[in-house]
Amino acid sequence: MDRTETPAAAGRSQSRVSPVLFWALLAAIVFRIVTAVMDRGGADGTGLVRWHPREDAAARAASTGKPILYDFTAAWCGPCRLIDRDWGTREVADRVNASFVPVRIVDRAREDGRNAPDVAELQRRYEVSGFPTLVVASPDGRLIGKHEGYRNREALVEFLKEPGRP
Amino acid sequence: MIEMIRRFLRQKSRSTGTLIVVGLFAVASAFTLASTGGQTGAGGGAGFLVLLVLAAACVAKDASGGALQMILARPIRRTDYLFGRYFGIVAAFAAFLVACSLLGVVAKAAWNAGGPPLSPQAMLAGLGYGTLWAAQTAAVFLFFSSFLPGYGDAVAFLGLQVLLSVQTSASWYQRLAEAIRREVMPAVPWDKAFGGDLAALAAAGRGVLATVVFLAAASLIFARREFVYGQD
Repeated sequence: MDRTETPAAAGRSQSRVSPVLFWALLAAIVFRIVTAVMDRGGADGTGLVRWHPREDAAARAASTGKPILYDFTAAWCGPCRLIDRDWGTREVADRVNASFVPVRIVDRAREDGRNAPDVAELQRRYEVSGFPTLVVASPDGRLIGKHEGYRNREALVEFLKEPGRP
Repeated sequence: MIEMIRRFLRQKSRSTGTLIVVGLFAVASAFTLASTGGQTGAGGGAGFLVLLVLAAACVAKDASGGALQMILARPIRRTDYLFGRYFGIVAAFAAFLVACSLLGVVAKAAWNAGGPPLSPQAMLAGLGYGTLWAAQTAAVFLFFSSFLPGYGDAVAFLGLQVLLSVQTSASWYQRLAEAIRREVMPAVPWDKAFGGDLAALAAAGRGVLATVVFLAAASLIFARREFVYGQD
């Protein structure tokens, strides 16, 4: 505060956000947007598959009688982008939408230092140790089939046809 | 503001209890550093406790003791005082990390503990990332300290951490907690962010914005508070 300021001006200047803070806030918003845009497209690649929220998956599976297809993925995972490309094809998406309740489980341990408790619990239950991992489970959570890594679209379709086959 | 930073550092360096606690943690972290080749582990349990000691009640103590009223009677901006406390906390934590590094070098030379040799790059990186973590966490403390009396800031911070880690079957609560953890208090992997990892950069973007928003909110609240002698 300038020593020559009037009391009224002093009061106003005390309650105002300082210009430095204002510009810092603006810069932080720009940085936030730029980094979010750079990161977009990774784990958000939803393709043509109609993904369901993980919280509703069990109830939906029970009501429809379809098994749950969990896609365990991560934003930083390169092979996961290959499987995302397949979710964008009609052949794969139609099969998934018709036969399963598809749910995407995005790992955030690397970015946030931890996962949400229910995500961690799902990873533990199905012993997910790498990405991508596909898990087909019955509505009551029993493991039917598991497919780790990505080979090619044919192998993916084969797994979706017969997830219980070893 | 520099004067306020100096004042904060003087206050902390004259507190015997603070010096003992920080010194003990510095020695413990130094041995970790000596055995890991450069990682102090600051940002983990020891780092958090040191930050807690440095930041808890940083404004409330001055307010309850009447020192704050004396300071604000001088031609000084409230934001200068507040950010003096903030940068004081960050500077004190950085000094703690430097002390850890120096003690780590001494520990390695004196006892030649096992593990990989000390890496100056790893030590410098640990200093930088630890300070960034402290800057992010101290902003949350400062926000709570701008309106809560006594050690309310520490209680609020710890309470929030407990609330966010509660496991419940309520899906709306899990979603809310996840959103708060992700957007408001993200754990930023700074090493990966500086390594160009896009997901980590996005986390850094969220962390930086949350930090500045906490500081702006603290500044706005603090500017509107009224301080009376003998009250907190």
